[in-house]
Amino acid sequence: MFTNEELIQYNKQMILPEIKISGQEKLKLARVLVIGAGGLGCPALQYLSAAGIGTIGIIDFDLIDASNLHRQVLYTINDVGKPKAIVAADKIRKINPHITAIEIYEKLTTENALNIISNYDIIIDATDNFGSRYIINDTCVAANKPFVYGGIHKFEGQLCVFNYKNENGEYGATYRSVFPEKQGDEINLTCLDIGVIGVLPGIIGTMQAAEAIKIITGIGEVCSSKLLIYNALYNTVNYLTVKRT
Amino acid sequence: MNVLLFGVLADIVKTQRIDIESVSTTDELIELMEEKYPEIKNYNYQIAVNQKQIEGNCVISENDEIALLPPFAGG
Repeated sequence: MFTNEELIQYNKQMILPEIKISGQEKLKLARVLVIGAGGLGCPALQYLSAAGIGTIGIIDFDLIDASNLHRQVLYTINDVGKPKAIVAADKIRKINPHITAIEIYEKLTTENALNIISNYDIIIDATDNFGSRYIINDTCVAANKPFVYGGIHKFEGQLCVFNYKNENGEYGATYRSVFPEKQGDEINLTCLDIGVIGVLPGIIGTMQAAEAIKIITGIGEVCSSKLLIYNALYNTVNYLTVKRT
Repeated sequence: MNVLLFGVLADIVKTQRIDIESVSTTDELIELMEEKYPEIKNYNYQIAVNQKQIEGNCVISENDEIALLPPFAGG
């Protein structure tokens, strides 16, 4: 299943008894969709591709702006003005030529979401607005897909795996279990409006990649029905346990 | 009792943690908070008691830790 080059490339994670070659095979067979190639999506994409996730989809309709560069670390000043999905796919093919990267230069909508999401095993919600988050939630619930939510606000980040089916066949909480009512879009506070420190989405996006790797390889405890809230200013981690409703 | 604030709610109250006295239910706490900081009425947020999300009104005591948590849009 692996070339010699791949065996060398993945050696340091394959020698972990929790991963072994069987875990690496699971990663290679996995299909992960990253929705949003921005602050959260960039670090998630870097680590997922380097880890050897076999197929990675990237959906984003936005263009790279110079003001993105302090946190969207896949891109350089030469990429400004180009579509994020296309540039991100090119970059991760260079990080790991043994994976398949699929760029989807589109906006996720209620019309196309089911078709796109159905092609993947795990979804990473790396979006920056409430509207997309509810589309992702409702589509993943309909398609029985787990999705790894990340959200940021200034120096704080949230992480949770929603709609995750555990080994007993029970589904964990959804985004709507935690946040049943959609906040009005007029109060959609994005990084554009309020600012964000670059390392924060780096940390949360990397944690999203870690959850995806744990789900695929079946190791550790998935952050399901438990919303994690990290504060980079004070190094605090709080949890909120939630029930599926 | 200790009330933890996150995201935009911490921005409005200008701290991550406040001490609130003489309330015995979450409804009373929210009424008091919204009276003191009317801007928080503009936001959806969830209430947790001792790290567990609650629904409806809940009796609380001095030793309980309450958290008010809005969703984070940013990414």
